[in-house]
Amino acid sequence: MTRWIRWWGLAVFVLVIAALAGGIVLFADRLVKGAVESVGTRANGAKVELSGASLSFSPLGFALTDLQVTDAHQPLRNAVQIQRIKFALDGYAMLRRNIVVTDLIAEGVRTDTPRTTSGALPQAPAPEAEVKKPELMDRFSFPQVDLPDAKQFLASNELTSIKLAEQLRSELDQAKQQWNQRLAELPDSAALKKYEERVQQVRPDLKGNTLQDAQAIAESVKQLQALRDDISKDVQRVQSTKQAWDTDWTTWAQHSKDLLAAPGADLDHLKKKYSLDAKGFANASRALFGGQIAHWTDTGLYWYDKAKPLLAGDRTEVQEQRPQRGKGIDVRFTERDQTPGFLIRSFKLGLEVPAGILRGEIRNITNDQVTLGHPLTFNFFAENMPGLQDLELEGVFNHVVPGAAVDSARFKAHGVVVQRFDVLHQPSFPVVLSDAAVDLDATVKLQDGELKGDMSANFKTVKLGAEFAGSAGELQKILAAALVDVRHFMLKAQLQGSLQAYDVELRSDLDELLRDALNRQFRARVDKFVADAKLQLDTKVQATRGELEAKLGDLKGIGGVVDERQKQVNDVQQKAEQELRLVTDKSKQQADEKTQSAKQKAAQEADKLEDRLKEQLKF
Amino acid sequence: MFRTLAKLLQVLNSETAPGQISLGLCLGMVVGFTPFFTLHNVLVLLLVLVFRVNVSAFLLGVALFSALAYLLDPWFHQLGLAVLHVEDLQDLWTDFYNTAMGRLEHFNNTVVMGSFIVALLLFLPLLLLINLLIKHYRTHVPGWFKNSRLVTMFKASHFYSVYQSVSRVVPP
Repeated sequence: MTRWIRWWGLAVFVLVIAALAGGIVLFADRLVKGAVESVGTRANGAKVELSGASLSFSPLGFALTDLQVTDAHQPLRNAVQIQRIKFALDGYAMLRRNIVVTDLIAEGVRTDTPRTTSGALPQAPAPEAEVKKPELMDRFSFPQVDLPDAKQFLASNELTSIKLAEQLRSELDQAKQQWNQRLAELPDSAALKKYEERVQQVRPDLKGNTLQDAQAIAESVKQLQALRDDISKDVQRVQSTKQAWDTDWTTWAQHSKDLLAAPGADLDHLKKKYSLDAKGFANASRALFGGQIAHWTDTGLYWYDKAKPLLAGDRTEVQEQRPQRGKGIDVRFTERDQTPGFLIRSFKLGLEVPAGILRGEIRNITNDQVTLGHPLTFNFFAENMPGLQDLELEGVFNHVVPGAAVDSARFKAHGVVVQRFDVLHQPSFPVVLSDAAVDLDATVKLQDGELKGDMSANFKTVKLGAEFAGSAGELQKILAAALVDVRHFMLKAQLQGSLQAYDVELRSDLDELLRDALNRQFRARVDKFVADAKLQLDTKVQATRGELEAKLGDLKGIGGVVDERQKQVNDVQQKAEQELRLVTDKSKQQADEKTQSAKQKAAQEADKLEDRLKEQLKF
Repeated sequence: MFRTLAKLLQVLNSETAPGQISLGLCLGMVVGFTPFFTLHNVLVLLLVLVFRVNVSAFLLGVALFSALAYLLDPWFHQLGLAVLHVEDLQDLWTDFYNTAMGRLEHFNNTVVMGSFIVALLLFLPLLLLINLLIKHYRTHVPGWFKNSRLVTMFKASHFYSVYQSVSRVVPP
């Protein structure tokens, strides 16, 4: 039998195995470092670097030092930097081809740290087009309410009162010219005197001769009728002129009246123009806190997105898989002690934030919660955070039931002392919260792709203010003064939408507080501005009004002339009518006398004839 | 390749026991047929080194049956899939799947299972057949072969010179 045994062969086998084991022990550190860096870089899309890795056998695990994960969007900054990571592996699980980290401890975890060299990959793929998130600051802009100097304002703006005064001045100047011309066209005193002379001239010269007198009277009547027609034409002309004058005068009077009312209307318009738009300013809290809350929301969702691959628990069964040549397929059997292929049972970390250390634990990190049967849970609390009563961050990412994932988180902080917090970074209005004590309670839930969240923050003992680097606008000054008056306020936020497109609704009693304070301060400033403007306007309008009244007085004189001419022409007309009546009466009288004389003569002739007949027929 | 074949011929013509040669070829068949990085192959390697198995025959077996495995791979997959889904064996597979040994062996892979079964089934028949062939070869072939025209021509070939040089270097 011994001739079948080759003892040196056994030695070779042992040597081969020992060499393999020795190689693993010797190169494990480098292998792990390389694996972490290459796998991490591939997953991150930017460099992941590790200073060193060391293997330990009891317990089986590794210690990693100074892990730097580059921010893929900012290659000169690390998204996260961890000073030291230590983890223990489950050896039995490894034999079963599962990576189970029983205990992972990370110390000195910091986010957004600077890098000495760029962490961009030499041939990095083009970054994915970012989904446009609703920018909360987009919706608010400061209303334009800078109050100008009253004098400058009046000089540079066209006010109705000034405009009307100019119009009336031009109208009166034009009218004066027109009416002087029209007045010249009316019958003057010479023309009227001529009419009177014509009246005198046409009076009949009666000589006692009946026939001649009758002819003279008839001629006078004819001439007087012609004269009457001439005068009537002038009367009509003067009458129409008088009517036109009355119309013009009424118009000027109305325009003058409008001018008197115009300054009041101008001032009302000014008040309206420089009133604070309460609707536009209804969301002051959105302007102040919207950007910050959007930043926090974006940061939270950024890290959720990063953690998402570790939550992909929806396992799909492989059906009719075509095997790769030489590889075959792995048939899965029921596992009695079900363990996912990758699992970190406990991840304890101390996150260094500016306020102190946020210490916590994340349990059950796996991409196969279905197999594990437990959700990922996390719980954080504050450590060494002066000026903080209580802080707690807890959450559950439950992907245990395929297709019914529910992720939720809650953040509570009480008595958070805020000292010098830049609320608004806008250069035009840099708002600083110098001091405040804040109670904060926020929840967020993601279910069926629907994102919902609530936040309630109670700010007490508030000291708000604006620190302008240069000169500030009118509204900014008013706002700054109003902010100083704020002592406490509530801020409520509601998050809705999806991970790709979400919206944050902000409500705060700060809106009302600011609006009231602004209204008070702004109204006083507007009143002063309007009073100044009124004074300037009154002075300006008063001077114009005196000039216009003088012009109107001139025009009124023209009206008097028109009236006088009308009276004169009417008088001439009356004289002519009277003369005509007189001559007509005389003519009638003469005709009557002539008839009477003829009658008498006829009666006498009849009497004579009767007498003669009586004498001839006397028996 | 020539060197290995030459060695094999030299071993065939030597005093080496037929069992050592046939076992080497059969163990080479196991490694050649099945995927290399499996637990049973470590055991095969141990057997090859510890027992006086002819290493040249083993290496030749690995090369020969690896090439053959490439052709037979689809059938190995089909066979492995069928065996792993046999209803009566489910408890056995499940038990084995829940052991570290089972997971290391990667038996639940269809190609591993199919090729391993084929290798096991062929192992004994092939061992006996090769043994028989070697005995037959040693009894009849060398005398007839030495006098044949083919050998005369063969002795004039490059292959024979290689064979001669190996014969000088490697003691029988």
